[in-house]
Amino acid sequence: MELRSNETGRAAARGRPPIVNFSGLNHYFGLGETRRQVLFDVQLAMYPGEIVIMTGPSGSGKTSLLVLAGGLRGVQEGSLNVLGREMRGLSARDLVEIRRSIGFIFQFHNLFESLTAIENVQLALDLHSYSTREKRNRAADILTKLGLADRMEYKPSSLSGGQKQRVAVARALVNKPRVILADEPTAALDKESGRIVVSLLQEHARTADATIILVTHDNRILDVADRIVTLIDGRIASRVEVGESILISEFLKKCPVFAHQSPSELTEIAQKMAYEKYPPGAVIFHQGDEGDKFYLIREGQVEVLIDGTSGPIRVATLEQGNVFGETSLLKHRPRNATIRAVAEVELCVLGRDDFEAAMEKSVSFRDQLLRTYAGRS
Amino acid sequence: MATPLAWRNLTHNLRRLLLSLAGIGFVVLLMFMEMGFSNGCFDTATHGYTLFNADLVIVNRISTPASPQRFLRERLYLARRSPAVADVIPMYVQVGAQWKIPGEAGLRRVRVFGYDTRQRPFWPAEFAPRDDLRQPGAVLFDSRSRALLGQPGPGTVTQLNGRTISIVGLAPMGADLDTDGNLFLDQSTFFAIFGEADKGRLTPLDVDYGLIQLRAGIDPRQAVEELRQLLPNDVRVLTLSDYCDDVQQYWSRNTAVGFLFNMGVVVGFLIGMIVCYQILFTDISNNLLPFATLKAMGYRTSFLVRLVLKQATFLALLGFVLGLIGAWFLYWLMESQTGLTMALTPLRIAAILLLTLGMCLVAGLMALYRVIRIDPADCF
Repeated sequence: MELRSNETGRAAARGRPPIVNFSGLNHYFGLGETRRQVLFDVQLAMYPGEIVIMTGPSGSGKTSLLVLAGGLRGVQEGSLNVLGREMRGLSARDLVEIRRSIGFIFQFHNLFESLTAIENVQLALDLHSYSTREKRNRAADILTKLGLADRMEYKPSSLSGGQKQRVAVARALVNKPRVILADEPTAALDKESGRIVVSLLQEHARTADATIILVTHDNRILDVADRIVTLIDGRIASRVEVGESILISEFLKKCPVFAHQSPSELTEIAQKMAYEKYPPGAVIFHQGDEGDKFYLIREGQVEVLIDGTSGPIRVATLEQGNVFGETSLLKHRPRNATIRAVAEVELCVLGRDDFEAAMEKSVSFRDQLLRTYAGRS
Repeated sequence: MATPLAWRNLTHNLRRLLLSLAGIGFVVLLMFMEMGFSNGCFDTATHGYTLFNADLVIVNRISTPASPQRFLRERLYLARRSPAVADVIPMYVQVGAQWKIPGEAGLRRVRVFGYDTRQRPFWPAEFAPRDDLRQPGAVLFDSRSRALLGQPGPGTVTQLNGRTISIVGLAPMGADLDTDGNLFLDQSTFFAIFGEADKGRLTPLDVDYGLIQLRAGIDPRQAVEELRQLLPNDVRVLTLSDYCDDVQQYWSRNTAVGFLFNMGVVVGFLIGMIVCYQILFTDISNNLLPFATLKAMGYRTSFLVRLVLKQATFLALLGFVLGLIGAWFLYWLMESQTGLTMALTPLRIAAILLLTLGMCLVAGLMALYRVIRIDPADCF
């Protein structure tokens, strides 16, 4: 049996090492009396092809995470692995070297007003030993891809805000970095330009197999995230695998016991679920066991077996989106059937305490009122 | 080829570039002028001597440019005995003689050279021996005198120290700080005019300069040594160029002229440094975020250091060219208006170029702390 916490997510289940991995990371600002801890025991792994949106109130440490991941500051405590290199203890010189394989996108375009769009992009290529012609071709290619083919020879002052930010994105992407750190890249843009920029990032994450860390408060672009990580006071307060969370919430919604839950409650439950994987033929629990977990089938099939006089009898087959195990938890009775994996199965699992907490909330407002009245009599 | 960022940052705002270059060009011009005045003064101080048609000169040991002393003419007879010597020309000089401006009542100071007019003590062609100069009261007038002396030509009659003289010809020399022009006349006329005014001190036997022409193929340094052996030590023997250097050094050591103008150069340098610093600093300040982004992208601080110093060099070179053009024009103007020698020699041009580069590079170094302190983390 393989157990994975939701922390590393399903990407981890694909069996690929993370590109950016924070582990037990603490970070402090200032020295002596004024020393203040800004990050507390951060555990966060980011995988190839993933877009992670970091959100949280200002001063929550999002920026510090970016600054550390980008090698702009040294790691003080804990571990941070970027592109396979441990960042802790690296010299300033080595950090500069690592930065060359990271793409940075800032809130402002930060372009040189004196250079044309294509020259601004070429600045990123100057760091690598390309021929003049190759630099020009690469810069022209990326700008063309970003819809700026007819703006390449324009200086920033003749470009719109959206175009300038696209040039800045081109500058960050032109070296095809596998890590992109973007800080509020859409904050200064209208809806349409913002959408173009995030689509470009999405495409880059896919084609270059890159991790994109996006710090944003822009609700319009939350949908591009594979995961949303919320930081509060230097701690990771929540992490949501967006696609997963939506899928699981939808599955839960169909289950009668959760039918009354609001979307936010469902999301919360989804987040608390862990993943378990079983090979074909494995027994998840036996009839008569004490019930301690609630299950949702994420993938695969299981069969429900009830002990008969001549051995177990299969009474049903359950598949993706079906749930089981709730009866024993609700009625505080032992399991009334055995569950066995048919094919390899991946399950989302909710512990008894979390399940009961959820049930507590799931009782509808009307039911609660009724129960109150009943208690009086 | 890397993107020419330094050049682009400098030139993309044409108006600002022109203002910057005007500032630096003006400072370069200022340094050129100060140096030109200083050199002009010293060049002018020796201007007459450089025209001497001589390899060596003999002067009184205690003579200084400010208080010339004569020496015994007998010393020249001694010198003539040396086998290295081809000819010796005695030269009498009176500084500050009273020249009556022709047709006016005013008097001006002139310098008077007296010599045997059968000889040729100055090398320009106008000083070729001429018989008419041997007439009593006949003089050659310095055609490059200041206009203050009037515009006399051949045939003009006027007075020198109260004695009537008549101009028979013109010859070029040029004014200096002390005199407005020069007269050249035969030694007999010289004694007739100044012998009387200066009775007791000046006799035909006392001479200011001995101009020595060496035989062909003689090494001047060696001849100097020989003559020093031969002559008593109340006189000095020097090559002509050593003598000119000596005079220049005397003026620069003993007057504030050199110091004043050198101060002018220093002040120009400092102003230029501040102007250049301002330009560089403004550019860095205007580009803080792009520079920080460069650092974030993986550019090293040394790249930015080179960038700023490159920009400083461009500023220096462009400003220098502007200043040089201005200086060339002003030198020409000054020379034609004052008669002072304002020479733009390659060495002086190189000196100002170095000063300009130094000025901008020091400014660049001062501006560097700004780029060194740029923190890429500030981009977030």
